[in-house]
Amino acid sequence: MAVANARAFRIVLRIAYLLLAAALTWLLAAGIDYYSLPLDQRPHHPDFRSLRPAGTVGHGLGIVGSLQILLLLLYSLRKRWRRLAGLGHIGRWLDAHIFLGISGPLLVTLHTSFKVQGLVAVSYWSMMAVAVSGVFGRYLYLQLPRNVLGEAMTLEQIQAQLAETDRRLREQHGLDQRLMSALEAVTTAGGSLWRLPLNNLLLGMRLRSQLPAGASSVVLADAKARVLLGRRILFHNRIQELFHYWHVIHKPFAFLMLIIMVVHVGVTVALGYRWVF
Amino acid sequence: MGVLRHASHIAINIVLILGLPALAAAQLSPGKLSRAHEKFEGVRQCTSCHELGDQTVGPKCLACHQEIATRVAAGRGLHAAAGHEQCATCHVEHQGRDFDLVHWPAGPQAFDHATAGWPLEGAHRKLECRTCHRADLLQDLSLVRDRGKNPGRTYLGLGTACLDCHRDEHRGQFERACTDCHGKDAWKPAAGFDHAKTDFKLEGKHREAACDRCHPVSTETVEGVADSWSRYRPVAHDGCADCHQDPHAGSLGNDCARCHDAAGWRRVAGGAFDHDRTRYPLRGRHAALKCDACHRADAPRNSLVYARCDGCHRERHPAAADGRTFDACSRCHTVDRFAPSSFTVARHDSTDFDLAGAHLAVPCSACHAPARKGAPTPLQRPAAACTDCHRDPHAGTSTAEKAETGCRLCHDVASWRTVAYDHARTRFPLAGKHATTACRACHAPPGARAAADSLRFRPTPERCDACHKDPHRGQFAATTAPPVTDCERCHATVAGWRAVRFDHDRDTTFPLAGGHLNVACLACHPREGEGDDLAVRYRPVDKRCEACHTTGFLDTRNQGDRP
Repeated sequence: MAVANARAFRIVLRIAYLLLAAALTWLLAAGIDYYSLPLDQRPHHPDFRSLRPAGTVGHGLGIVGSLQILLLLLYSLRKRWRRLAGLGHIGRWLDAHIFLGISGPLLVTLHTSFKVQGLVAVSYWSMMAVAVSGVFGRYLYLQLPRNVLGEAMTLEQIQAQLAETDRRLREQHGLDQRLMSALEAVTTAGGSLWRLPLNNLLLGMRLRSQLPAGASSVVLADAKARVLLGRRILFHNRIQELFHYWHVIHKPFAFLMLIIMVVHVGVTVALGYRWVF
Repeated sequence: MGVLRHASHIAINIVLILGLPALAAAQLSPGKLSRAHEKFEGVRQCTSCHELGDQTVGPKCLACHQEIATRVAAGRGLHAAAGHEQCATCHVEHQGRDFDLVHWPAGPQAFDHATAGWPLEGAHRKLECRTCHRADLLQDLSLVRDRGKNPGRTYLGLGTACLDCHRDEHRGQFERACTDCHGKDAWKPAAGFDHAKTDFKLEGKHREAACDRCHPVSTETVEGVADSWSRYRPVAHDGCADCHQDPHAGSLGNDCARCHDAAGWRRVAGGAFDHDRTRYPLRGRHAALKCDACHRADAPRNSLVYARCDGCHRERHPAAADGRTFDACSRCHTVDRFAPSSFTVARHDSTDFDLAGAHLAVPCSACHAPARKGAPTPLQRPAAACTDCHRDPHAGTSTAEKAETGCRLCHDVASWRTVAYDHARTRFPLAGKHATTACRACHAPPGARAAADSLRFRPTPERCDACHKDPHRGQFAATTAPPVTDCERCHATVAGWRAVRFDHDRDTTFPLAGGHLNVACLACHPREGEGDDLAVRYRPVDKRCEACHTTGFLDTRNQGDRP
């Protein structure tokens, strides 16, 4: 049941990404003539009344994007409010959080009609900082192995899992000491933390050259898991430290963005800009 | 680690809290206001323009822009038109200091002026906006000046009356609207003006006259520029003399219309005009003439010189050489007819050339002939000498005396053929046969045959052989040069050729005696030759006896003729 739900969620998430891509493509294509104009000429464009931030389309984009940003806060609620702990898998919450964290800022970007300048841009760049830091946080998040419940594993747990993987490679897949040493060498050749993403990306290719020809995909997957676990153990402390600092960046900017957004929305509503309502 | 984490949180939150108002304030404005509205910049002044709870800014715009508000309230102008209720629809704010709030989508020239309540028509459409929308044409400068605005930028404040922009070309002469007469396409022609609706309907020639003939143009200098304008009213038009000069100088009264109408001055109503009222009553053939025979279109108007015939008539007699003109036609002609002339022979005799003799029968034109056909007939005495009219038949061979007296030396005016000349006045007095001989016998030129042939008087040789043929074939010619024969030695002119003054005893070396006295001349002087050469031999004659006295001689003498 849980597996089925996870698959359905992934499908829904992919559809959502596709719809988002399609919507953004359509909006950009339709508005490229307007968006590409210098700011002082935009008021004279026929689409000004609709695509400007207060326009019918622009304002709508801002409202939808803002709502998405508000919605993604539920992820924080899910993490912090224990009464919600049982509500769905935390990983899906995060996936939804990431989707909304991507979609919302993009829609808000269209809402601004790329008019981002001066002090008023603080709100926007705060939002973008939160979004970009989210991407970075997502990467760090992935570097911290988790159990099936999505909870972060301790170093000991990871080491135990590594030992289990080594055992499986030796005993089940028949890797000799030389190959195991080669895997260890690949593991330690991950380079610095900043080069790690690229090295992880090229890992499959590297392993194929180390493993005997004709090694099954299962062997390859275990070998890959072993190297990644090894590397995560190597960078575990460092990543954990960065992850803590990431929260320092991600949350305050989110907080700043939210406050300004509330003020922004409050002022516009106060001045009577209520979109279609 | 935990301490550091919390310290970071606290520091960032402090920054946020302290900076929040400023950031929030910055967020309130979507952009800087235009330069015209920069005084409203700032978070505390949002509501200077914006109505809370209502995105419209119009009411507060108009609260300041009273010049627009009053027009909107009056339903006048572009801003009162439908679709222009929201100021921000056209005048977009928060676009930066340099943003121009007045935007013309296709340029001001493409603006549909009708939406401003005053459609551009005619020539107005071709004008640049600022040709009319100028500060100096604003009707109420206070609209902009009192508000510290540039009068040169506004499009408000123009009047819609013609004179609000245009100078009154008529200088207040008319109270009617300009458009009653003038169209908007062009000032001229004044298509709406109809002269027939004035007190003076244009008829006839008046329709062709240039306006300024009746409406004088005045020139004045306005702002240093010379300008002219026409006086249309008042223009006196009660009588013709208000504009026209009376060519009759009042002699025919002041009711021009009795004879003339506007169709043309020269067109005089038939029968209505009594020429006797003029200084030239029509008489004779003049009475039957049509008016335009004298009052021609090409004649100078009002300048007929009726006091002189040549005012109308061509001068038939050219002026005399001394400059005296013949201007008393009536001395010879009447208004009834030109010919025949009343100039009689008796009046001709009063001139310095009496008509007498054959001259009486000569037609006038024989002496007073025009230089060519159709040319004026000269009346002056053609010349002083006969040969000025007559051909000299003697070709100048008359005597020197004739040069002094003229032809009258021999001829008179009665007849050419009657010649009265005393030949004795010459070196060759006529005597004997010469006195009865026709002149032509001696004075006919060689080869002359017809009577008309001229006689030649000089040179006329005086020797006999010049006229007479020497029947002696030169037997008596002088032996010395010149070998002239002196006929008068034997023949007398008066007595005749046959009255010979020859004495054989005296004049020859062979006196006649005895039987020689009874001998016929031819017995000793025989005829010789034949025809025209037949002549009597007088000399030399052989005087020896035997030359004559031979048997044959005797026989011959006895049988010969006796003289």
